[in-house]
Amino acid sequence: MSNLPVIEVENLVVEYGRGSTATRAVDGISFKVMPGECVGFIGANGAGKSTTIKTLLGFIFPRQGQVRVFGSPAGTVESRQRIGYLPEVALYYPFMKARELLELYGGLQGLGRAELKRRIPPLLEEVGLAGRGETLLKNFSKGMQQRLGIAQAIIAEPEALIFDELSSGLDPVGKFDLRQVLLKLKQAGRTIFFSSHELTEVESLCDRVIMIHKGRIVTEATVQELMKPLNEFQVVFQLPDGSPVPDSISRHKPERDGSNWRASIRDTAEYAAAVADLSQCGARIVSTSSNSRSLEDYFISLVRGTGGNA
Amino acid sequence: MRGAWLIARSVLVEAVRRREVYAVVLVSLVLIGAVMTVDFFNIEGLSKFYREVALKIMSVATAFTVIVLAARQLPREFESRTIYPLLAKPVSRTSFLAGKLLGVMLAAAFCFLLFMGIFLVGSAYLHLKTQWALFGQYVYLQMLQMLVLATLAFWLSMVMNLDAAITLSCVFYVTSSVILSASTYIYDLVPQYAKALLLGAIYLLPQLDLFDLSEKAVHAEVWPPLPASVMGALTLYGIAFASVYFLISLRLFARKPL
Amino acid sequence: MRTKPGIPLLTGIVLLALSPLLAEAIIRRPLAAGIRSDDPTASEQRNRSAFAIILGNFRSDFSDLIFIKTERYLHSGVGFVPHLDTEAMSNTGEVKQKGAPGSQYEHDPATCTDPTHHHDKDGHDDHESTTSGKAGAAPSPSQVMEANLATPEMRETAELKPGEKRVEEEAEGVATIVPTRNKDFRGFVGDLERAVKPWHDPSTPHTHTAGTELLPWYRLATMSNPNNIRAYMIGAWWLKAMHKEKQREEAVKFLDEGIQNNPKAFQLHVMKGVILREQGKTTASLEAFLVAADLGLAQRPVNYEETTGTVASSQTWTHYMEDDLTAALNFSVLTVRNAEGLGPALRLAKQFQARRGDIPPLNALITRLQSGGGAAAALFLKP
Repeated sequence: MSNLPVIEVENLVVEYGRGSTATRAVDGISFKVMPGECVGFIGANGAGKSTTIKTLLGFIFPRQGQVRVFGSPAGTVESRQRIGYLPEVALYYPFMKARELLELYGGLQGLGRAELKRRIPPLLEEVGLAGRGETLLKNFSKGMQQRLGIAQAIIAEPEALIFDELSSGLDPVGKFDLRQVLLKLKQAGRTIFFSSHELTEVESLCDRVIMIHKGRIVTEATVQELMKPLNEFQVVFQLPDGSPVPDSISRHKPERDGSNWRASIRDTAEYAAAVADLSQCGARIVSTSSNSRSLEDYFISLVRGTGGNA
Repeated sequence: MRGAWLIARSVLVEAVRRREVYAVVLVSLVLIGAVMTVDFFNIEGLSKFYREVALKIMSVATAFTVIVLAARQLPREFESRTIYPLLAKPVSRTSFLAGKLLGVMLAAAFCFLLFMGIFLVGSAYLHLKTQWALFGQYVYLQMLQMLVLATLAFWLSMVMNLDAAITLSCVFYVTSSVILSASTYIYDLVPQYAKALLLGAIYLLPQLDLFDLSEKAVHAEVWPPLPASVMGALTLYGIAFASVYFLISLRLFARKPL
Repeated sequence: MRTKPGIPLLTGIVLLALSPLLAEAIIRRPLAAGIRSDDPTASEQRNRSAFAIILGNFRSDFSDLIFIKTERYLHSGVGFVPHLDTEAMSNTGEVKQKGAPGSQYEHDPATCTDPTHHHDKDGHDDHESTTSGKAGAAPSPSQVMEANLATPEMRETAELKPGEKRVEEEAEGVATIVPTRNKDFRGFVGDLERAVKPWHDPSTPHTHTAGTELLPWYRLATMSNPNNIRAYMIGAWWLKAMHKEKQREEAVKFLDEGIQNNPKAFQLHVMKGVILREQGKTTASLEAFLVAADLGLAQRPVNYEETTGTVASSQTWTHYMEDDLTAALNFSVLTVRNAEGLGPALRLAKQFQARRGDIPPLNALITRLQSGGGAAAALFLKP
């Protein structure tokens, strides 16, 4: 596998409108997505996620900066050769049958007639549309269209997948199915870059997360790194008379409450070390509690301007 | 090239599966039938009248169908967002637009073939002879006219809303023959600057009436087929205008953020 | 319950398409015999027809447009400019008009053997209307009479046998709508138009085609505008020219419809008389000629001679034409002469004269009858 980035964004600036009325949707962001990575692109509505993704596909043009996909400038035919894309709202020609639509999209990606014939039935089955190949799309529900959208994105088994609002319009079963498909693709070494509002999905699928807010990247970290400051443990203890507070606890600035001390520790390992030290020095642990926060809490606090500590 | 063909095929599938084309054909058929059922003094074999009515209704109906079909291709793609997954595939905007145009032309041919089939069945029913060479040239020139109209509608749909593009294309189609013929009447009567304007209108606007061989086709018994040189010149003339309109459309489309 | 919107829409479209048929039904019903065209009630009824409702005031223009089309049909699709324009162009040297004074084309209408020529009062070849925009290869009743003057071989034939090419060579110098190359500022666009459209070099003679194909257009023209007297007249004339009894009957029916719609149109009575005469119905034809003469004499402008050739007179040509009255008078008198002899014919002619004073063609006829009928005897071939 090449070490060249699949997606390379450098100082990207995108504006809508011109002159004094121009609105800056993306304001100088830079990031890379490496082969085999699964990267979640998170942000509130209007943060610049879809704009960034549209720029990756050449739908809109940057005011500044460079965007490369598989080393080719975004928007070129070469750059789109090895990617599959699922748009935010997937609507397809209502006058076509599901099979015909997949033949069209697969054909556009260079698949021959025989290959398409071989691939389409299992693909429809994989996305939960088995036996629907001859149904006109005007009779498809929104969820079914989204499933078909996934099928068209992966029909040519692209090396990279770009999904805009991954599970938009899917019911819980659909979301589960989609997750299974993505996990399979991830295991197969595909590069996946997607935006989503479903942060649990991001938590469960992604290796890395990029958070964008008001057109700027505010966080870029692995899920593990990101989740680290999100867990909080509280320990209440009593020290033997005259015993000093162990270093592993004092670092977390415990507060005295009568005969009790109360400390808040954010890191699991540090919490474990502190509890061990307290036992060693003969302290009595009155109570312990953990206060786990999700990526969603973090995201909300970030969006509301309270940083990650709210 | 394959991408263009696949997109063209999707346009054709749309034209064939939607009911508009059949509705237009049906209405035209009813109109022709209604006119022909008027009692014309119990005279049989009125070939010119039949040809005139049928060919005129058919060419007008095809032109309007092509205008509507061409003008709505791009706005509909934007409106329904179907353009996103399409252009995310390795297909250039040039191929995409070329495919759309090819599709519209295939749909026009489909519509026109339906009409011509009906026309020939009608001719056979009325025991009328068909001058095949002239008739073939008529069909070919009609398709050239449709090509110019389709590219014009493409262009207009890029710079104005769908309704305006359709209306303007239709107005141009209807008034084109007036420009061609009226200019000769008034040329000597107008001041110099107006003469220049007329000349500009004649050369810069496509004279769609030049692709209408229906008048000769109506009186086919006395008119020979057009010489190859004229057919060649008309082909070049039509392709020149269609190319210009297509290239303008392409330039606008290539720069258009989606 | 949800209704499919397509069905009422389709029904509406079908009804609209069938409107010509409905129009016919609507027009005919209220027009019972005796209703006059200038009767307000009749007009109101006529204005309720489908054509009137759909086209409004445009119905008469539409009728005229259809009428003009017949001119092109006669020339295999070639468009010729209206006569007045051609005349004006000949004055500027733009076209060489054979009808110009002194040219070989200048001839006496009375000797003209081409029934498709329409001679106006000045003897001009009149392919198109001179002022009102009415058009068509319009044979006036006087032409019909002239046709009767001609030898049988020269008579018009409306129908051609397969492969047969008619017809008389037409005038040189009648300008075409699409100009010649040296008069066309449009360069290659003009060249292409001349190649694509039916076009004929106006400096060379051209031919006319048969008139049968014109008939549907006259039918539609009268359906659109029931006051289009010329359409009734010329349509009937072409039907007659098919020389078939079935078509003569159709012609009489067509004229009857025209007379119902336009009871004062004496031209229609003349035409009806001519066709009835051809059918051998002498009494009925005389009756029609006498009605025509009666109406025509009543309509002849008091100051006709003074206004002849002026715009004022030409503007009324669709309502009154001296040629038409002449035909009505001549046919009446000559029919009586054939049936009852010179005396009663002369008496009838003098009755006409007494009613409206001197009418030059009538005076000429009386002179010929008084001279023993010599020349006049040849005027009227038995049907």
